[in-house]
Amino acid sequence: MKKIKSVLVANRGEIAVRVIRACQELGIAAIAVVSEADRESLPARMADRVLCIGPAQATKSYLDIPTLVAAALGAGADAIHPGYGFLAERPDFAETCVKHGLIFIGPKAPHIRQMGDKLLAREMVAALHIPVIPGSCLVRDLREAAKFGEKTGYPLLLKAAAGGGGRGMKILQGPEELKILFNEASAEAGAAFGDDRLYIERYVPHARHIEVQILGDCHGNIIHLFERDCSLQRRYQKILEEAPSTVLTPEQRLEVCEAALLIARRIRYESAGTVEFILDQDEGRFYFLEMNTRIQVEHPVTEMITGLDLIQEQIRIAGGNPLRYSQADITTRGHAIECRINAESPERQFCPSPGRITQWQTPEDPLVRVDSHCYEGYVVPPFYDSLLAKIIVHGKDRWEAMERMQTALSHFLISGVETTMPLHRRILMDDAYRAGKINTCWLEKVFLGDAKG
Amino acid sequence: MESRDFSDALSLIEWMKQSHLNVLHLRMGSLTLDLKRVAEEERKTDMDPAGNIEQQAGKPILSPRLGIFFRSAKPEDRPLAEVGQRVQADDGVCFIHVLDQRYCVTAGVQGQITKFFSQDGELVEFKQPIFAIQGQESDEIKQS
Repeated sequence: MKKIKSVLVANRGEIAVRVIRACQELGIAAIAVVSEADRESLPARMADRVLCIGPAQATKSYLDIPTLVAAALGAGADAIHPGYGFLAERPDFAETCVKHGLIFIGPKAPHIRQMGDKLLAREMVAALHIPVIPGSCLVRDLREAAKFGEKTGYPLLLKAAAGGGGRGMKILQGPEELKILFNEASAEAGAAFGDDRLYIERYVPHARHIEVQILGDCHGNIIHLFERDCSLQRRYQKILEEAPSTVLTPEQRLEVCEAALLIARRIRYESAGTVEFILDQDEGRFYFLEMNTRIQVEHPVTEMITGLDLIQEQIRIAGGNPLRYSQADITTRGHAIECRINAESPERQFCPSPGRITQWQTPEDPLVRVDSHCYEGYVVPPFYDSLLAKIIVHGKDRWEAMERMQTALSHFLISGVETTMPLHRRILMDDAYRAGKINTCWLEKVFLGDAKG
Repeated sequence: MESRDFSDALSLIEWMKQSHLNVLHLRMGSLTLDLKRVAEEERKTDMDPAGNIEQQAGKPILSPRLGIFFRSAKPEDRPLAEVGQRVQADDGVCFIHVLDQRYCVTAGVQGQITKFFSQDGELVEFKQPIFAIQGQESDEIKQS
């Protein structure tokens, strides 16, 4: 395995900044690639070299595999870090990198492919005797889906076989909804993933989203870094994440982390990955949801409680190095919370709010971390996702972390674009949230339903 | 137009001022926005290499994509075009290689080639000037 001396960062926004910083801390040169819309972005300013790869349109820049690989080869990079989103979970990207002698800083292509097909993943996990949500295999058409509904009863969840992220996902309260939504879900899945296959599973209404961080190396060592609780979601998009989860008993924590390890070991997983579970709070049972074969947006929450730098570990692992930690080395300290600050207007159905940032003053506190690509004067382009910053706080317990987050939110001053900060301030003051009495539907159905978000 | 739509439109105009775009067509529901830059902005950054090219060399022609620059299809072949050569708008002038694909870059404008800015085998960026043409009838550059 060749030593990594230079990394091309095939992404934009805060994760590009995060990866560039990790490279530079390791003494590795970072090459940023930017679309025309991102020439003035922070990654472009920070990187050791910048290459403009194409127009603003992502399909012609950040999603263009031949161009990205040609840029890496032309600039003499040894490796490519895909970040999250864009090409991070495209097995053909990982394959093209390897074919041209580049190290892909992530899992092997077959791992991405196997876990990316949600039906294949379910089958593999069920064979390990890990519970998957009771559900059907593929449903080929409306008739097959209706038959399944008759047999098991409603509510049900219709999901895309090819991917997560809420696209193609529909909650079905009864057979009438199935008729209306089946074709819609199929079309949505087809448009998002180029694969319109759907499957149905039992819908778990009082669920917590619990996910386990995994790290594996190419020598067969695999460890977990405990769990994150990402139950605060809107339209299946995570809004606020924390670790550790306050609802798990020590036995449940052990159970879920062991299950995640079992899955990762089964495929000899390499790099950072996340195994997602649903905790049915009515039954107190876990079900496997899916595995994400990438670094996730919310990875800093785990970094704050374990003290590891996950991006640096990803790079070390990709360079062929064995994990520097055994499972016994991994302990957690205190509690961490992350709030995702988006350039969206909570008052206008979370409509995107691009534009120039006229004021950008981040909170100053050694236990507050802000991961962002923004600065005063930066113009948020309308072409990409609306994440502006992640605020991550640490406290000795959940109470202290919540207090610190409230202070951080009140000291974070952003003008020029509308943001989701007011929503986060309200969540942090809410009694149900503070008491931890929430589930994956709470934000949308109860909180935003009542507060007219 | 609602006031919110109006402020969104202003944000877009602001954003476009900072971008390198010349034209923007946007349709969102009943709202249609057509923006066109009429005067070239004075602002030229380090990352806008077209601004650093000597104007007397003619109009710089920008690379339509990132890739490796070559003047001929194969090393043993003669270059597609030479300095001093007169070309038509659709004449091939050089190639950009992107992995296994080879794209021919046409002159885009009628005139005389005055300069190549890149050497064979060099990495060129999207919109990096690769050669210059002294226009005859029109200075307008049409990039395909």
